Amino acid sequence: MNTEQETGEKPNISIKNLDITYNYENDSEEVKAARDINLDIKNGEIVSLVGESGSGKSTIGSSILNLLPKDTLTRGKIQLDGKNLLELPENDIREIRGKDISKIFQDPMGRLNPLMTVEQHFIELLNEHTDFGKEKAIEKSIDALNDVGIPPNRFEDYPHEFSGGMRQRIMIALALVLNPRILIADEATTSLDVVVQSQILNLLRDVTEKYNTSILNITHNLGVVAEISDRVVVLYGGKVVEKGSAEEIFHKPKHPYTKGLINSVIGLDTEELEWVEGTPPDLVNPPSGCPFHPRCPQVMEKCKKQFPEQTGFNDSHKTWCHLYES
Amino acid sequence: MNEKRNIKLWVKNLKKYYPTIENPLKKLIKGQEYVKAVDDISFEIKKGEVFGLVGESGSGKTTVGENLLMLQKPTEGQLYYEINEEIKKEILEAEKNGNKEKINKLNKKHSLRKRKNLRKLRKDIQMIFQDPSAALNPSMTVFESILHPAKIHKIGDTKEERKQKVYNMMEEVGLTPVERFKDKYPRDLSGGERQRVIIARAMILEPTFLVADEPVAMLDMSIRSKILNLLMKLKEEFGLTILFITHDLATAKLICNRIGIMYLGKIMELGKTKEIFENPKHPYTKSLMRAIPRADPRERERDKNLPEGEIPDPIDMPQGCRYHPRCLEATSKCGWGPRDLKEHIENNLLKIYDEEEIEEMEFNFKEDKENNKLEIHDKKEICNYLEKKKKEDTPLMNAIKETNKNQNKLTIKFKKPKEPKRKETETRAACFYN
Repeated sequence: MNTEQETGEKPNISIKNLDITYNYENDSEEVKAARDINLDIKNGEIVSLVGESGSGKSTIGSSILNLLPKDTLTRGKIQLDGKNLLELPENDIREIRGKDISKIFQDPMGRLNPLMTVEQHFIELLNEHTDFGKEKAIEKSIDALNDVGIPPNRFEDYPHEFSGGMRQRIMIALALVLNPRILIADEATTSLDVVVQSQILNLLRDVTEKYNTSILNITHNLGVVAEISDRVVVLYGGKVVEKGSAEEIFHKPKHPYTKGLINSVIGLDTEELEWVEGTPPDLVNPPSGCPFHPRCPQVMEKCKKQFPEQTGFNDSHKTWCHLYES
Repeated sequence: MNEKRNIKLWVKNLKKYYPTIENPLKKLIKGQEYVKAVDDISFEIKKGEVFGLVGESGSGKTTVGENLLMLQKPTEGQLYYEINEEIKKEILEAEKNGNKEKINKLNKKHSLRKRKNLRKLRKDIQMIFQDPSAALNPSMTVFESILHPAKIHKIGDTKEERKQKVYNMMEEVGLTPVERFKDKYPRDLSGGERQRVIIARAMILEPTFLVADEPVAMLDMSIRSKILNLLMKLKEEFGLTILFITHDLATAKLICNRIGIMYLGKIMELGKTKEIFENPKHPYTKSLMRAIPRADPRERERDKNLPEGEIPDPIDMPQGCRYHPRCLEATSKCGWGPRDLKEHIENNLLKIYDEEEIEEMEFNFKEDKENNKLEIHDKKEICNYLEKKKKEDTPLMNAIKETNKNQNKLTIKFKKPKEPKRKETETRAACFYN
């Protein structure tokens, strides 16, 4: 089933046949949040996971660093350096968090410790993962802050003394100070104003270029996706329904859901309101066959019975839709 | 009579200041400080139009909305509701002549702040909130939520009639089949459905004026348009006037007849939507338009030319034009002062000193707001840097009136700041350029 092409370059991280089920074997109803996800991210590549709330995008992001609740069932593989992250013991995952893979979130204030200065945040992180002396640690931190445009005299300030955009810059500096190979950005610019959002997106693109970091960008905002992604993966109801380069997804979308999603974006050149009819799927009892079939304007009989096979248009552009099966 | 009242709402010199809580001693010394959330704004909304108030977070747009509904009491200013040009003229005239008695009389008759029967008016002015889950009572079913205001305002004569009205309204907003939705609780609904309940709850009172505060910001992209479409449909059907509060210029462009762009409690630009988008005047408006992310990777390399930094602290508002520190088109007369210079030096420390030096340094800047000057002590390097920098033709440096070097102290004095005003009829943007 998994036929992610081998284009020579080895992926940085590789997700294979990932299934995630919440409330597994406890009293509540099982929620099938992600089903059979396959995804490779190459070095220095920015890949965006797009979908509505409940599509499974954040769940996938959290599974990589093992940040899901205890009674969650994860099956499949998330491979980094030949290790399956899903099977690593907690101690080993701790080693990886913040060092090989780091994550930034929507709300930076909620992630920074209000009782610690910026300096203390850096020192704590560097002590955990390196044996730098204090001097080297400070030097490293100031370099990282410089990269994100925070002046060095703010080093001893507390989080509340910064504005929202500055806090997000500090989070990015913290996430990048150890030169991780992968940065997971979960709605990292969603709560910021457009101008600041645009600044942060530029910043993310610059630093990844500089350090060859890969980004897994998780968002529902298609504008943000178009601004920074190399490749885009579209999720619906816990399934990947289409993936391709940013150009392919925005200019040659194939899956009816992708088309609907792109048409419903309200941009400066929008003249008429368009939307996708219906409501998001119930993940306790996901729709049979293709999860999008109850909302799909081009639904066919077999869509209700069977999830479609992959159709590839070229090496990068693929969709899972019966319309394109030969 | 109402037909002739073609001005639905005239917001006149509205101010809303929040006192900052500080210790009494400091208050004595410095005086009470305020967050000027809304700082003297005026605009009017014509009957039947959609007026958009657009701004970043912290611009005061939501505060304006809440003041209109008297959910908060304005600090100053009046909100004249359902008036016409004649009444407006009368008010302006009375104000010009200093006729306090007449102003009071007119205010009592027309201003929301002074009118007695506010509760009746509340039925006429309804609000839709951003977060549909927070605005619904989790222990009320859809039916109960919509019925509740109808009961309070005695809509319909009998129980049966009220019930029918609720059902009709549910159909109107697309909560169909009614049977399936009426007994559901908010937690059983999707975000879009919850927002429909909120819209139905507002519309059941048959309002004529709707304040919609970010009604789609929390919804998924794929259904935002559908909710907006519903609002527009209701507007046509019920002849609504809408104040649409949003941070999203693109949405405002699509549905508003006129928009006002707010920044730090002030309206920076106001005009017909079409005119503003075809020919934005204020540098802030231009920046906002450039910054909107485009859902097209081909536009990625466009010239964005972003302003620096973020919306500043409203307690300590920049002097002069409040946008000047971030403005890309600022000139020397836009209000530069000691704080801007201090910030400039701080941001360029790495150019002046080595990293190690900075760590051990204490900086003695003394800001004198009253006289608009900055004192710097004991820092030869900074003096030298400024000497060099002063020769450059930047607005900040050009705004310096005089520099005094006295032993170890450098005093830099700036020109007196002025704030650009937007005169209601003559100019669209509050900017010295226009």
